[in-house]
Amino acid sequence: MEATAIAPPKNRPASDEYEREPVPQRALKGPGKFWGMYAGEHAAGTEFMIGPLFLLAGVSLQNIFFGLLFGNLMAVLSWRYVCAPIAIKARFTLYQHLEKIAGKWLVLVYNLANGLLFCFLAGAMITVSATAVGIPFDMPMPTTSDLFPNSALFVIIVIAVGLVIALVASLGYDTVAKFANIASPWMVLVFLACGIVAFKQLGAGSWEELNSIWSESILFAQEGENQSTMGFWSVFIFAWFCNAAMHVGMADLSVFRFARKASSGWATTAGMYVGHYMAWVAAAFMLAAQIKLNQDANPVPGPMASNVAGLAGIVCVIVAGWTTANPTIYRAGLAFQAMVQTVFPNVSRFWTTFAAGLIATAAGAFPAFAWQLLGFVGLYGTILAPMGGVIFFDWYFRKRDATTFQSLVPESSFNLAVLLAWLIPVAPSFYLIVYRGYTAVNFVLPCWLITGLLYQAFSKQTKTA
Amino acid sequence: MITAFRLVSLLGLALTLIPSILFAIDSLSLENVKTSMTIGMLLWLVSAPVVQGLKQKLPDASH
Repeated sequence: MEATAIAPPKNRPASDEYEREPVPQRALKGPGKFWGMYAGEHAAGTEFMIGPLFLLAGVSLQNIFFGLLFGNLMAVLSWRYVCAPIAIKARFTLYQHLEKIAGKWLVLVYNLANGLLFCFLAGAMITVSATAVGIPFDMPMPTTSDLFPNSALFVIIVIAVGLVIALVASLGYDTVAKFANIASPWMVLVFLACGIVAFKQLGAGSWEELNSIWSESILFAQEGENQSTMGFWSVFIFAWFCNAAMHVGMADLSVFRFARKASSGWATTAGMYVGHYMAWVAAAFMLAAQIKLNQDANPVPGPMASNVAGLAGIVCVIVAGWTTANPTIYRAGLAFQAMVQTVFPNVSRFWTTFAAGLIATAAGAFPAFAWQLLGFVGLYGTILAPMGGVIFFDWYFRKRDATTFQSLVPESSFNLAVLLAWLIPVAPSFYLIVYRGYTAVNFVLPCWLITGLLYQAFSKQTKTA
Repeated sequence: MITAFRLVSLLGLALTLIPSILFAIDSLSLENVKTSMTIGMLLWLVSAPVVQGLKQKLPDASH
């Protein structure tokens, strides 16, 4: 999982980030920068949760291996052929790009949705970190049946972790970003080492034995039921769209606007096959090993990592959670600041970021957000990715080119065609997901397509009128 | 100076990964794996920021 870049603060002076202008030729970067960045950013604290959740959902090993192989490939292709080509031509952030199409007021609404979803994602990361911090304090670990806080100590540790993250993010997360870059090669190797140790602990000498041990783990975790709620296509779709907001949703326009060529989009291969393949499989093996050795199917990242890697595993969980929660809260703060500034122009980023941190901390005290991570990232993609459909259809069907688009003045400050095109598919999908229990990730692609098509249709009607 | 710190950071990464491979081929106990990984972590987290800092200072020095 990765957090996305959104609106820059309005009071920030023009900087090397080119937040309010197209990235100039002299600031472009070669592909090497992107490979390292994606490998690190997708080795996040939430990876420790997602792999084990596959086991709990009863997914077969074969479906995990092949579903992730092809699903991640589709995600890479989405970055390479949907997001990167537009990014290297327009060279704007998502915020700037969308503002030219949808108008600044509608972008603010989008940012509010973005900011709130960021807070809940950061909340899950705080929960993950808290399970590692709680080990030396003998904290009773939350279980998958705990939707609410399971002990006062858990709440205290979540608040402590959350407040530190909120405060650091509010003060500016440059130091943490630097630390994240330094820690990421080590974190990737810890994930790999955890996977190797856990695989050895499973004691499988052949594919058949591994399959048999895996099935026994599922049987134990599901208390004798052995039912799979996810097949090949579910894993495939999940792997493809768990970062939908970033690729088809175009949030990574903000990243690839610095790329010399669209081929830099291939760099996402590092993130997908290191973070969303190796790390997920390693984390799934860690839970299977824990079940085999301790008869414990509780997928709590701290103890799982401690079992196979000791102190290094515990620190990795804390660092992985912390370094990804921090920028997530920072960006949520920026989104809230952009909203609040419409009423209170002088509101400081410190307080909006701190408020975002407090919301994330409150969410982190509810383990339900971490246990429901598979569903949550699907909901996140369903709500945010369709705006990428607007950008895609606008770019190709209106035959945009860099020069005219960069000088384009928004037709209105609140484009009703975009709002309707966004809400018509997303609102009923939200209802079906949240209130009727449908699988969220299945709605991403239909919503993206319908939003893009409706935007085309409504825009034509507006022009004709 | 930078070469020395680079070697230490590489040693840190080696001590993070190699013990797990030795454990997989029954050449190291799990306790020793955990101890080696802790040492590897400390070496990496101490040396890598220094390498990063020295690398950033090099262009300034050339000015």
